[in-house]
Amino acid sequence: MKSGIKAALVVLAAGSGTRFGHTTNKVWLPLSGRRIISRSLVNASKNFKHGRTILVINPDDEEMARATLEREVRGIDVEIVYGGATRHESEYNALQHLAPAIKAGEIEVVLIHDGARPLATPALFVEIAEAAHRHGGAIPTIAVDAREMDTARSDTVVRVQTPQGFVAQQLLEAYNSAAIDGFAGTDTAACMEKYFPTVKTMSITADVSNVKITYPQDLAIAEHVLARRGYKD
Amino acid sequence: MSNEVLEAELNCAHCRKETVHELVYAGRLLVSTTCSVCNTRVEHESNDLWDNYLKDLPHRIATKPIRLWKRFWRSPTKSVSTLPKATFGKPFKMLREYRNLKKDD
Repeated sequence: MKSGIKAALVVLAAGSGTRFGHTTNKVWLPLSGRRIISRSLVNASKNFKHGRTILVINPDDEEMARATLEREVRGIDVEIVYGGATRHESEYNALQHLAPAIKAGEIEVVLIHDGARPLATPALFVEIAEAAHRHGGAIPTIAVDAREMDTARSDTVVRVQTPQGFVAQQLLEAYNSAAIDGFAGTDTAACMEKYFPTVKTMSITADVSNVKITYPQDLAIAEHVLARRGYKD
Repeated sequence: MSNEVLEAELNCAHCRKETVHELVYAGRLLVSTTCSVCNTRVEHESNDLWDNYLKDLPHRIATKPIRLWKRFWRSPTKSVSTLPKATFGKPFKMLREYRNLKKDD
């Protein structure tokens, strides 16, 4: 069932751009017949009745982006925004693009997703949006044994994934304040934590299959996961 | 998607940094990746890949009519003009895919 939350789904794909006529950004690679970014966009927007889908790209990739959207993401109105030099700048640019709608109350929640995570399911996007709407923020996490990283540690450690969702108005304020202060967070949650430390960010148990394509092996893992899902989602 | 060799920046476990990799595909499946700096090559397990290819093939065939229709709808003239060449070239394309999959056996 589709969620009625008014959400903006921001998918980040502003890595290194086109060189000598062909891009080297991994989000444009094919994964079982469809580009990685197309899978991320379709999964992000699939289960929202009132969703706005934003794709943040390197300006050099615009031609490739438009051709990909035309061919593989038909039926979804995707708005293209140029990214910045860092992840934080790209998020800021997306939020500035959405600012009029956020201020007008047309967007309740913003979800920010890494385009290189094509296996985040439509259900996860809804779960994050609903938790963020209820509590202020939500991030998908996987618990890891702290001793794997440091044998002296015994506290709970989690690996954080995306999509990360927050109440739109506060997220916009946080990024506007960060721009004034010159602060750049490592991810969306870091910026929110700095400017709205009292906002409750829910930890949603995620799936290990929500891999971020980083190493060559991750592509093989993603192919296997898609085959197991019958090439759905 | 018809390209069989593509390039992308991925992390190389050997170089311990992001480098340009060459990726070889057979059909819709990845066969191997090679780091352009240290030449470290990562391959799929051949049997696994062949199994996956066989599993993927019916899905490719089943979705072909709708993909052709979408292509036609997008650009009827281009679609009609390239269809004969694409049709005759298909067996050779599949033969190339088969060779890519089997050459390391």
